[in-house]
Amino acid sequence: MKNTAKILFFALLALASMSSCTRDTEYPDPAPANEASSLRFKMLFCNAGVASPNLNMLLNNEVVGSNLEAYSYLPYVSFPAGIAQIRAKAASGTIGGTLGSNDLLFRAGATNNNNFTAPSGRNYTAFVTDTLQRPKPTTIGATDPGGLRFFVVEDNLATPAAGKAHVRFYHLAPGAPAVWVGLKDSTTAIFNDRRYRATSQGTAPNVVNFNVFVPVNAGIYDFDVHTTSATGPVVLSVPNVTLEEGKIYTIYAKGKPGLAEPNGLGAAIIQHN
Amino acid sequence: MKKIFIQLCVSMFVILALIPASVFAQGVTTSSVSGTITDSKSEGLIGATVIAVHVPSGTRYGTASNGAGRYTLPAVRVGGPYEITVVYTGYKSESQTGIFATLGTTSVVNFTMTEEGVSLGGVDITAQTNSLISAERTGAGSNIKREQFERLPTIGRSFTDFSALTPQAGANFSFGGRSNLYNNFSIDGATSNNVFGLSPLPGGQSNAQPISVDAIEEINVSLSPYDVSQGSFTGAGVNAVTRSGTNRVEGSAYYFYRDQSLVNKKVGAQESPITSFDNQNFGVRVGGPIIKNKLFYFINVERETRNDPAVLFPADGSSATGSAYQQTSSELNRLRDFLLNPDKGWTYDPGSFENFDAQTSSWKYLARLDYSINDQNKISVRYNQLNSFRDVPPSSSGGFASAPPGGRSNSNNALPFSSIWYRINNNLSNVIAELNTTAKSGRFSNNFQVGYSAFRDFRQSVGGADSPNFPTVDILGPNGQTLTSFGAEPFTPNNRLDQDVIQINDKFDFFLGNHRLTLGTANEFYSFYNVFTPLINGSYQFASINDFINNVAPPTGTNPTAPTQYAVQYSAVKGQPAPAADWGAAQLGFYAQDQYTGIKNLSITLGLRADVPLFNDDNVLGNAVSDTMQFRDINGNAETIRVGELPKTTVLYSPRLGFNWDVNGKKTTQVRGGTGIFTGRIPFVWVSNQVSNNGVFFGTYQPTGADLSGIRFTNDITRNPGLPTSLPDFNGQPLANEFILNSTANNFRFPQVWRSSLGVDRKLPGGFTATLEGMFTQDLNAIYIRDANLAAPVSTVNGDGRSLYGASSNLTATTGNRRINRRVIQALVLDNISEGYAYSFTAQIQKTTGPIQGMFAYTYTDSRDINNQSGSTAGSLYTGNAVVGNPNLPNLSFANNLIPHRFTGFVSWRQEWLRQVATTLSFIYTGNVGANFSYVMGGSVNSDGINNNDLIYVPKSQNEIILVPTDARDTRTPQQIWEQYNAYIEQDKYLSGRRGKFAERNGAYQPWVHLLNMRLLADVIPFSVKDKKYGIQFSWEVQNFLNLMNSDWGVVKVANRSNIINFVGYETAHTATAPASGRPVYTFPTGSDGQPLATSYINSPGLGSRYQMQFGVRIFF
Repeated sequence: MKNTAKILFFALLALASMSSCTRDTEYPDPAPANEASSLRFKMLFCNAGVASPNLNMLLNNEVVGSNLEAYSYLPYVSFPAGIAQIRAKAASGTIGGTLGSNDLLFRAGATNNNNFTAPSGRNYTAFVTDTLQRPKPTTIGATDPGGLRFFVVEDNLATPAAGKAHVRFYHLAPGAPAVWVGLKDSTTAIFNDRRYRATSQGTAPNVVNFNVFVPVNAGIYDFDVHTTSATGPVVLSVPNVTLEEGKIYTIYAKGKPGLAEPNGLGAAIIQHN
Repeated sequence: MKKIFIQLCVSMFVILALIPASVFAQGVTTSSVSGTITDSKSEGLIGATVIAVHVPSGTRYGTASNGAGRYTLPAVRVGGPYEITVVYTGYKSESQTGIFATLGTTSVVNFTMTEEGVSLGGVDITAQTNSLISAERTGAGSNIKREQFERLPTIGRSFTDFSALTPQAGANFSFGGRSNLYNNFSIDGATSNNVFGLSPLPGGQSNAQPISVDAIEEINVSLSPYDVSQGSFTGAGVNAVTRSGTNRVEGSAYYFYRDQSLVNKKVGAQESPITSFDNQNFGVRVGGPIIKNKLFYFINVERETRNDPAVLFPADGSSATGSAYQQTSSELNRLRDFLLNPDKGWTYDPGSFENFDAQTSSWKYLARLDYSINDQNKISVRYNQLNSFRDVPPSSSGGFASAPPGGRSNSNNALPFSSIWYRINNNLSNVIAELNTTAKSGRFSNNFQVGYSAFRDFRQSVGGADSPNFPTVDILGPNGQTLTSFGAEPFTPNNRLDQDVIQINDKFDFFLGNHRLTLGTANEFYSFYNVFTPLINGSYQFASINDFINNVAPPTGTNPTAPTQYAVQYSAVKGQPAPAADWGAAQLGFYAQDQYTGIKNLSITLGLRADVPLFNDDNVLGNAVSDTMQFRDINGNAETIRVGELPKTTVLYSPRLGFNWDVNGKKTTQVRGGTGIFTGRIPFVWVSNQVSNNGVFFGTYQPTGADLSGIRFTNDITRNPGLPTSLPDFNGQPLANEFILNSTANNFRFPQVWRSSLGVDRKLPGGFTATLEGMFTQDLNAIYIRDANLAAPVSTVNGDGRSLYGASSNLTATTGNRRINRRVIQALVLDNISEGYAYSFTAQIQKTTGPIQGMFAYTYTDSRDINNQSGSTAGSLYTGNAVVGNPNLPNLSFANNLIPHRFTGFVSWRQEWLRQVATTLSFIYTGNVGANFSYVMGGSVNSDGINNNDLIYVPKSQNEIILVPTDARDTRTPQQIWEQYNAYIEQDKYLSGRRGKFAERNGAYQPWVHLLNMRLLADVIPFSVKDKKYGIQFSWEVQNFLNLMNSDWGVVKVANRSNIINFVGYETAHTATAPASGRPVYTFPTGSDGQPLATSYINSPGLGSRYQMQFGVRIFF
C-alpha cells in the first residue's frame, strides 16, 4: 500500500503541475486610439426636388440641417470621415408621393443599399432631385423605391485664380431634354449637351467630368439655356448672374416644364464659399 | 539513446526503469500471450511445450519456453476463450482455460509445474483476466471490443462512435486536440485512411463508412505507443481487426431504418420541422469453417441508402411570409422548350426542375480467410471493398471567374436544372495478407504483411450518367440573383482521383532470455493520379432568359445579346486535354527494438525507427518563368521556388523509450509510460497541389468590354470562344497572364512530435479499474503554410497597430501591390515550424466484466498550434487561419479541435429473463465544452486580400472604435450602435475578458453540450439446436436521448455571429500610391430579425439539437 500511496501522490503532483502550465497566448499589444478621431469631410445639402416639402438632413441618423426648402441650400457641414449614411426626412409630416411615409436615402452598390463613402478632407454637394411622383420601377425585387433621389458630386474648393470665379452646371430638371448653356447671343456654349442627372460625358481618354469647375472672369452674366445644340432654341434665360472674384458657384436647372412657379422650369445657383 | 528525457511538468518524475512497449506489428492486428513456466522452486523450466487453442475455431498455436523459462505467442487471434496447456517431461501437464486475448495487449499466463508423482494442494492460477493491467500497456489509448459494438448506440453505424469513447478523443475523429488529418487508420494492418486527405476516412465525401461495424472484431486506439513498429501518425493510430470464422457456421442478417418522422420537430420551444429523408441500412454477415480447426471464412455484405429531396424551394412557390420565389414554371419551361427545340440547329436536355431524390448509397463487401497451416504458421487474407456515391447540388463558386450572384443552389431565388447536379463516387478496394510464423523452439517469430489498396474517386452527373459535354450556363432573374443553371457543373468534368497504395511490412523477433529483440521494416508505396479542370467546358452568365435566347438565336435583323460573363480554362499542355497531377511517393521505415524483462515486475522497451519519405517527380512539370522569380521567405530573405521539384528526402529518426512497472507484483497496480518521437505523414493533397498548381497546366480566357459583347454561345465545347487553335510544344512557359503557385520548402519534413506520457492503473474491488494518465506533446516539425509572393506591409493600421498591406493585387500596379511578382497571384509554400504543443490529463474508471459494464472518464486538454492544419487543400490551409496582422506567421493559439474539458462514459446492462429473452440497455454519454471559434471581422482590415480572417480588437471605450450604420436602411446613430456593441461585449464571457486586447484564434467557446445516446435491445431466442441459438433481436436507439425526455434539453447552442463586426473602409482612402492613414470604420449589424444582436449564442436548428430514433431488427443463425 505504501507504494500505491507514493504513486498516487506523484500522480496528483503531476496533475497539479500540468494545470499550472496553462500559458496565455502571446498576441501583440494593440495600439488603439485614445480619443475620438478628428478627420472630417464636408457636405453641402441642396434641395432640388420638384415641389419638395421642407426636409431635415441627417448624416448617420444625426440631424445636420433642418427645414431645407425646395431650391435652397445649406452651408457646408463638417462630419466624421469614413462612411456616412445620408438620409432626408420631411421637416413635418411625411415626404409624400411615391415614397409616402418612408425616408429618402442615399443608395449605392450592387444591391442599392450601400451608404456613401466619404474619405477625410473631401467636400461634396448632395442634391435632392426628381419629382415626388417618380414611379417605382416594376421589376420584381427592384431596390429603387421611386420618388425623390439623392445626387452627390464631389467639389474641388481650390481658390480660383486672381480675377476669376469658378462655375459649373448640372441639369436637375426632370422631364427636360439635354441642354446647352452659354452666354446670351453666343454661338458656342460653356456647358455642352448636359443631360438630366448626368455626371460626365465621353469615354476614356476624352472624358469631361461635370463636377469640375470652369474658371471664368469675375463679372455679371446673362446665360441662355438652349436645347438641341449650342445654337438651338432657347428654353430658359437666366439674366444678371453675379460671379464674384474668388468665389465658387454651381448653377443648376430645376423644376419641371409645365408646372406653376416656383416649380416650373428654371435655374438656381449655389455659392460654395 | 540512453539519455533520460526530462520534460516540463513531467519532470517531477524520474523515469526509473525501462518500460516495455507493446511490441506489435505495424497496424496492430493480433493479440499475444506470454508468461513464465516455473517449477515448485520458482526456477524457470527451459523447453516446456506450450500449446494455446482458440476454442471456437480450434486454431492451435505452439511454442516452447526459453532459457529464462519464458514463452511468448506473439500473434494470436483476438478473442477467445483460449485453453493453454503446458507439457514438460517429468512433470504433470497444466492447463488454464477461459483466457481472452485483447487486441494490441498481451495476456500474461504463468504456470507452476509440479513433478509427476508429487501432489500439491491448490495450484496457483495467475491467469490474466484484466487486460487493462497488462505488461504490454505503456502509452495512452483504449480498446473497444465486439460486445460494445453490438450493444452500444451508433445511429450512423460508424466505428467512429466507438473510437470517440477514448477519453482523449475530440470531435470529427480527432484525438488529443490535434488535427484529424494526422491519424493512421488501419484495418487488419492495411492502411485504410484516405492518404490523399480530402477527408479523414475513405468514403467521407459520400458520407459512407469504409467498413461495417458488423465486420469488426475489435478496435485499438493508441495515442502514444512506444513500440517503434507502430508509426505514420502524430495524432492517434486507430487499428481495427475484422472478424474471423470459427468451427461453427454462424451469422446474422440485419435491417435498420430511420426517417424524418423519428426526429424531433422542435428545437427548444421553437417549431422547426426538418425536410423529409429516409435512411436504410441492411446487410448480412456469416462465418464458419471450410476445414474444421484449419481453414475459416468470414463474409459481410452491407448496403446503406439514403434519399433526400433535391428541391426544397419549388417553382411557383412562396415563403411563409408570402413573398414569391423568383423561379416560375412558365419561365423555366420556356427555357427548357427552347433548349429542346431542334430549329436552332442543336438540342440539349437540361433535365428537370421538378423535385427528385438526391441519393446517397453505399455497398460494402468484406471477405476473409484464416488458414492455420500448422501450430507454427498462420496465414490470413482479407479483401474489403466499398462502392459509394452521393448526389450533390452544384457548387456556388465561380472558380477563377466571378461567382453567380446568390449562388446556384436551390433557394427562394434559384432553381437549377437537374443536369447540373453531380454525383461523387468513392470506391475502395483493399486486400491484405498476413503470415505469422513462430519457431517451434520459441526462439524467434516473424510477421509478414503485404497489401494493396486502390482508391478511385470520380464524378458523374446525377443519376450516374456522364457529366454533360456542354458548357455551364447561369441565367439571372429579374431580382438580379441567379435564377437557374444548366449544363456541366463547373468543377465536375474530368474530376478524378486515383490512389494506389502498396504495403510491405516484416517484423522479426528474437527471444533471448529476458530480451526480445525486434528488427523490422514497414514500407508504403503510393501513386497518385489527380485531374481537376475547373471551367474547362466554358462558363457563361446571361442577365435573363431572353438574353440567352437572343444570343443563341437572335431574331432576324437584330444583333445577338451579349452574355454578362464568359470564362474558360483550357489545357496548356500539348497532347493532354485534361492535364493530370501524376506523381508518386513512398515512405520506407526501418526499426530495431529491445524489450527487456529481466528486472522483476518491470518491462522496458527501447527502440529506434527511421522513416524515409521519398518523392517521385519524374512526371512533374516545371514553370520556366517562376523558376527565375525572386520570392520572399519568412525572414524577408530572397527565396526561389521550383514547382517542378518535390521535396528532398530527409531521414527522420524516432527513438522511443517505454516502461511498465507492476508495482507490487500482483497485477493490481501498474505504472506505465514513456517518451519518444513520433513521425507522421501529411495529407498528400497538400503536395499534389504543387503538382497541379504550377501555372503551366492551364491557360484562361475571360474577355471584357467589346470582346465580351462579341461572344456567341456554342453548344460544341471544342469550339468554345477563346480556345487556342493550336498549342506550342510544352516548354515550361505559362500561357495564363496570372497564375497561382503551390510549392513545398526545400528542406520540408514530415510532421514529427515528441510525446511523453505517464499513467497509473489500479485495480479496485468489485471489478473496477481506475486510471490516471497524463500526456505531453511538443511539435518538432509542425506544418504551416505561407505566401512567398506577399510583399512586405506598407504601413500599420492607425488606431489598431496591426500591419497594413498594399491596396492592390494585380498585373499592373507598380506601387502598393501586394504581389512581389505581378504575374503570380499567390505562391503558397508548405513549410515546417517547431512551434506547437498539447497536453492532456485523464482520470478514468472502468468495469469490463459482469452484466453491468461501463466506463467513465474526465479529460483536460490544452493544444496550441500555428496553423490549424485541417484544410483539404493547401490554399484553404492559408486562408482558413484567423490572424491579427501577418497571415504568413500566425500567433501560436488554440487548435481547432481543442476541447478543454470532456466527460465521456458508457454503461451497458444485459439481463436475461427466462431462458429465451434478454434485454440490453446501454447509454453513451459525452459532456464537453462546445466547439471553439474565433471572433473575426467581415472584410479585411489589414488589406491582405483574405476576407473574414482578421481577429477583432476588443475596444475599452467608444473612442477606440469608429462605428457607422450598416447600410442605407439602418436607423441607428453611431452612439446607439456603440451602446449595442458595448452591451454585447459586456454579456459575452470571452470578449469581456479581452478588452484592450485582440481576440485570439479559437479563443471563444460555445456552451457545454451534453449528449446522451441510448440503445435498447430485446433478444428473443425462440429455439436453439445443439447449443446454437437462433434468435431475433429488436433494436431501438435514440441519439440525443435527453432531447427526447424534454425538448429544452440536449439543445446545442452555437455562436450567434462570429463575424461580429464588419470592416467597411478607412477614414482616408487606401490606394496603391497612398496607404490609408485614417482609422478603420466598422459596422455592427443587427441580428437577422432586425433586433440588436444581444446574446452570444443561439440554438442550432440542425440535427444535433434534436433526438433521432432508429429502429432495427436482426436475425441470428
